[in-house]
Amino acid sequence: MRDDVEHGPGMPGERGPDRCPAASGRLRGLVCVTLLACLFAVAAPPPSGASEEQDDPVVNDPLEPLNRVVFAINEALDTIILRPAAVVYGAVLPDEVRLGIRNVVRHLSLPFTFVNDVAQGEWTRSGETAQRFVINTMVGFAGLYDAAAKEGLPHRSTDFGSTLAVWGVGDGPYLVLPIAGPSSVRDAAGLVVESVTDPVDIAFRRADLDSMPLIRAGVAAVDFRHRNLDTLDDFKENSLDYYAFIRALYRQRRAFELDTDGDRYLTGGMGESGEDYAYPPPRPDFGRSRPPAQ
Amino acid sequence: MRPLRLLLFLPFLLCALAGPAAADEGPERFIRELAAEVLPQLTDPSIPLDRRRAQFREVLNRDFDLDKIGKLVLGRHWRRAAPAKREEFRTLLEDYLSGLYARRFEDLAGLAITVDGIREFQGWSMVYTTATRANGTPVLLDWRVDRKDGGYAITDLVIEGVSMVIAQREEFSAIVVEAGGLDGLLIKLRMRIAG
Repeated sequence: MRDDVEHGPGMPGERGPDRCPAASGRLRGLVCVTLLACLFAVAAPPPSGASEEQDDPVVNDPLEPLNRVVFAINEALDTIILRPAAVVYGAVLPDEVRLGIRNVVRHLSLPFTFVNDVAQGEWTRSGETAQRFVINTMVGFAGLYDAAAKEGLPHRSTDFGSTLAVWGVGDGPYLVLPIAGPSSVRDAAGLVVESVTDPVDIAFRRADLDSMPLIRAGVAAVDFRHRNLDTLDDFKENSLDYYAFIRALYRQRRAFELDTDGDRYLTGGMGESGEDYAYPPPRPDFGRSRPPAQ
Repeated sequence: MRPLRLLLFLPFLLCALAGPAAADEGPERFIRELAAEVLPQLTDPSIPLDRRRAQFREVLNRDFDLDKIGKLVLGRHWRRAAPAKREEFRTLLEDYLSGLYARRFEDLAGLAITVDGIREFQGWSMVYTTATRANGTPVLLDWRVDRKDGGYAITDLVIEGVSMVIAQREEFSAIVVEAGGLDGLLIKLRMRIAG
């Protein structure tokens, strides 16, 4: 799960399915087509399968039995490896060092963020991402120190799943990936693409630093887990069905980040007379600098 | 004839124009007052958990609409449940939520809430706020407010885009489906409250 998405909720909704192949690049077109083919192949079984859920349009989880198994394995791995690692990470390293590590992790994500900004047609944002990368590479000691944030260029992240969403690809059924955790068919496809096209990882491999991509992913995972230690502990302890709770959390969070109507929740008859509507409604963009309440 | 006929439409026109301008400010004021008066009591770090729980239960009954939340959270299972079961569920929900949130309020001392805006929907409003914790991280916190007994009541909290009602409903629904009926959920809730 990505929690470090700080581009606000209210990106203007001028994105549409027709944005896809508009601009440059044979390669991207190829990737796009291959991916769409994959998506349709994977998404083939219609989600209406689960007989119990027929009048409940909210839960799109036809693979729930399998997902629950993978989820349980992930939980076990979390309990014995990731969580202890995150606890040690928090206990051993001082705040400043952890902040530096987090900055580097984020910094290394910027080249791929830039690619996605461009692919999404977000020209202004792609420029800001590039500026941020240059500033923090030069002034911020290769990303260790976040100088760009002080210049009004806060960290923002996006991923290829988001790009697919902008191109009009629906999220498809819920999917729990081994190790990577909660996802959807679309976001999983995005991860696959990311794993082979991330510029920084490609650069590492070119430089014969073959283990670096894995180390980088490991550090990012420990950092993420550490920052969410209390929250996830609370959820795990207090939820009655942790799997269902995390599923609801992931899907809502994703719909919120992407702000695409296609992903927005249908309420499954939450209206007065049992009708459906998209809920929660998209949050209006109030801007960051609204004057405080009188 | 023409001017007269236009006059007939005047009241409608005025209503249409006045509608959005005279937006109901009640829900916003309700949330402001809640944030200013009720929240500091709930998050006061000096009070023991038992008292906090009792306090929150009071708030839950006064400023929330538990009947409606119960209905929203159970969804289709509510519509199928017998009245006695509904009543039982509502009681358990009150116990469950007051236990759960009383503990969560412990860490929220000094939470400051600023109202970002408000939107009205059919029969309910969304009051959009930003909550800033003592350590400075701002969190988008939106309140769904419905009318209740001539006043207002909260029917959902949306934290960073995640609706608590929807999350809870998916969880409850999964338990009902797995147990093959509402009774399974009631048992699980009772166990959780006791434990």
